[in-house]
Amino acid sequence: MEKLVLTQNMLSTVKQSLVDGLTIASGSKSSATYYHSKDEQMKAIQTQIRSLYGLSKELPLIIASQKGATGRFVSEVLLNEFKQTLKGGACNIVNPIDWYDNGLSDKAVLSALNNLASDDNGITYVLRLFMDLKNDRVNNERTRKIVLGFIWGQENLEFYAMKYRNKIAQILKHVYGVKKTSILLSIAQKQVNIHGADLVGTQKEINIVNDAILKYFNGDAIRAFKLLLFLFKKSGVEYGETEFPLLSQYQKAQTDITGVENVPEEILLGLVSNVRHPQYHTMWSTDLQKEATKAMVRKNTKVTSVNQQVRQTKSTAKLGVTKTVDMKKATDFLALYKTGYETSFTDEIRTAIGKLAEKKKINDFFYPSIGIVVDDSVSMTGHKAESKNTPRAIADFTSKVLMASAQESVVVKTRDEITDLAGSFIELLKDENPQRPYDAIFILTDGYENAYDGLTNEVISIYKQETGSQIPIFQISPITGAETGGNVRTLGQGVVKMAINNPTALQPQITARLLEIDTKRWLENQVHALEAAPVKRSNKISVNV
Amino acid sequence: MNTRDFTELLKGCRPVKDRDGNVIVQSIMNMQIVCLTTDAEFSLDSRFANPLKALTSSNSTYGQIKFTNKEDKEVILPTNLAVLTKQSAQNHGMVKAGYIPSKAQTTYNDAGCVQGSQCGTFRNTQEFRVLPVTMREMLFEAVGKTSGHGNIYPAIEKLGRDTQSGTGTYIDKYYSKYDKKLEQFIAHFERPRNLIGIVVLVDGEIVAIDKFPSFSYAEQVWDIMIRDCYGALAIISELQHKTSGQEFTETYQTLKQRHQTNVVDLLEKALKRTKEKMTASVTEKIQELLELTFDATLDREGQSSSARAPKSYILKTDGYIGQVITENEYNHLVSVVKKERFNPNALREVNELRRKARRQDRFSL
Repeated sequence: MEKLVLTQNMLSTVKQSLVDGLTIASGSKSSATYYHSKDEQMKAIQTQIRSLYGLSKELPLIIASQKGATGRFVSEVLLNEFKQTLKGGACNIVNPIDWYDNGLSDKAVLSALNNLASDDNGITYVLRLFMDLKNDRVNNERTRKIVLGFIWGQENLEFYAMKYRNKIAQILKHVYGVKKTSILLSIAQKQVNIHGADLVGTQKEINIVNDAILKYFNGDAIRAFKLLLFLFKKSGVEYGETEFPLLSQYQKAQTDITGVENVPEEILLGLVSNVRHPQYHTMWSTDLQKEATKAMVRKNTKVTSVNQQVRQTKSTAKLGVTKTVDMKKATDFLALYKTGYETSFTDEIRTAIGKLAEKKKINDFFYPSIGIVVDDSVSMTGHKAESKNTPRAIADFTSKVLMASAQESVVVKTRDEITDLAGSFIELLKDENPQRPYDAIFILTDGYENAYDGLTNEVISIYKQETGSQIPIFQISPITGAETGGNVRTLGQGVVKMAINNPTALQPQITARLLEIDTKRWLENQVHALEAAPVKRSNKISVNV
Repeated sequence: MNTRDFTELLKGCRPVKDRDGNVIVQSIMNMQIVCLTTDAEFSLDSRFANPLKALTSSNSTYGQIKFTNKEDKEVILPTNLAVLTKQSAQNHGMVKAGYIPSKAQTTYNDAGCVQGSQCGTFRNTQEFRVLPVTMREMLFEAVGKTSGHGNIYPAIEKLGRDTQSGTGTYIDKYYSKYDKKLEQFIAHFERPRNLIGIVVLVDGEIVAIDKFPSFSYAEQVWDIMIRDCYGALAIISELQHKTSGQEFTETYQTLKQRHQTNVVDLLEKALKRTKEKMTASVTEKIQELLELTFDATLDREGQSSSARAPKSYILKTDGYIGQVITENEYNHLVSVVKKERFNPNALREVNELRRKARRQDRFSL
């Protein structure tokens, strides 16, 4: 890579935008908060992304590739990128030769896409993004190749085809276009009927199939055709048990759902709830039948993820089904917390949360001894309908991850009827072990204090001024506010604010603070990381536009 | 006409306090609120339905609102409820609170239009808002006035001037301008458990007091009261560039001159002292009201005529005006507001004179 082309004049603007961008990236959610509607939140995120893109087109992608960036933020960055032409926007950080000609642009997009598909977010986010492309009528060559590479490159495509059948079909139809979809389906039907492993057809047909499917698909042509025909609901195709263990069960469930184990619960219920299903009148036409069928399906299904099973704890009990869930295998802390809030925090849930926090701890954490203030006030319960208890769960889990990461920690929770952060901060200072003074203090709060606005800032300012302490004080907010343009509502000037939606974002956020010391070096490191990223558009062939 | 003592109106209630016994005062800019609570037995949770869900409203002429209670439970109508509908109809507002028996209809003819020249009547809507507390004084003055439909217009015009929202006689212009800000305003205050009432202060003076029928009722109307009703006070404060001051810093600096102790202990002391000062100030202000006696006039317009039903009284005294919905000396809802032109110092002088009078011995030789 050539040197960065970032000028000294731009550096300070870029620095502030990066800090703000990282805060928004790791805290932004599309869901409503206690104070703001979903629409307001979305508008705030989109405005921030547009402003970052306006500054330099690489900025949003660099931020979206960071670990801990929320699914909503990455989706919006990619949607914004796909909407622009490849050469649209200005490259003010990386040399355009590197960005366009040396493939950095591609790598940045793919790194962000991989980040979106990672465990913290998931394939549903990617599919939602692709649906947004359809809704916004975005279908340029680069977008098309990336979408096809992603879908056909999935190892678990058979399962995804079954679970997200309509969505994937709509995406493919949008990307291929109506005419090409029809041609591909016609070729597929013809080939499947021939029962041969090799492609038989005119050169033109073979070229179309190669270009549209096989270039991206890891497997033989017949398997790809059968999957395509399944996605588009074409009948007359047989799915053998060894070749298609999941789709064969799906075919069985179309006439009989009893004893089916490898088809997701919602799909089975979708099938039987159709009045044309042979079992509809015996299994779904009355409320009593519905309850019994739901219970039977819940009991039989073996493809429900542990996280989903944890989330289903309450409804499983309501259905009268006894199902042992190994909570310790759950990877979604929100699922554990929400189940705890809904039912109760059993020893099993508490242990699982503890283990998960231990698993997510930050290795080589920068601060060996820390103090934590956790805001446990009413506003932290989140929006009544859309995100009940989410901020509280994030704050509590983040405090546990911080405790696991540090060698020594002290935690103080706000107690009274109002958010008295100032009182809790002083309590934390009083609890400090003189032998191991705090290396950093973390205040986990939404930023709305009630004793009086600005009281905590007064206390912190006086403390720092009187003691000469340089201790970093971080305000970690589980939500961002639309009134602050998607950013964190700050407690005061002496506090470093950051938004955390998932403790995974903690370390990158803290590291990101270091970028304030040497912004240019930080950017160089990020661009190098993109360069080294082992990503390409398809598993088979690297395609240059 | 009979009288009601302030102490009697809020009987059973007490301010919510923290661990150290300080009254919890929540502040933003120059506005503060103190929440009131009571013992569980005085919270009639099972008796009354949620007013924002149980009622639908209609009207057949201007200056009238008819409420239909769908529930098996009775409903206490919050003070100054307004209907702002998307229907092609004239929005209306109430000039008072009310009582509606279960599964019953009640029509109030002393309501008022709140939307200038818009035509049309509305049907079965639940699009409720609450009118700002700064309008309350003028609205209570209009209780019982059934001629015409303009009972609320003067109050809207005044609100428009106070909040620079150019409302004219259209209350929706105020909401459109400030709705976003008002929504965020909810976040600044937290509803404590077992809330039964709220005391609102501006610049250290009590400007409004509300007491609700139950904990659950208070929970149901909390957001709408903070946003629609009290929010106007914060808007006006902001326009006047009022701030909350740096009380803690001032207290700390004073203490620092007198104490030689470590910083954290001093911080703790200063915070404690700050809270004590806030408590003392609020307590003093509430104390002043304890000697108030209101003239109570029975309000019949729209209210149930059944002998057993709760009665509505309009309360008036020199500096305050309000309403109480009461039943066998049990006060379900109390709503009091300070008259804008009233200077509480005048009340202080009167109280001081009364106290002196009480201390004087009777004339004898």
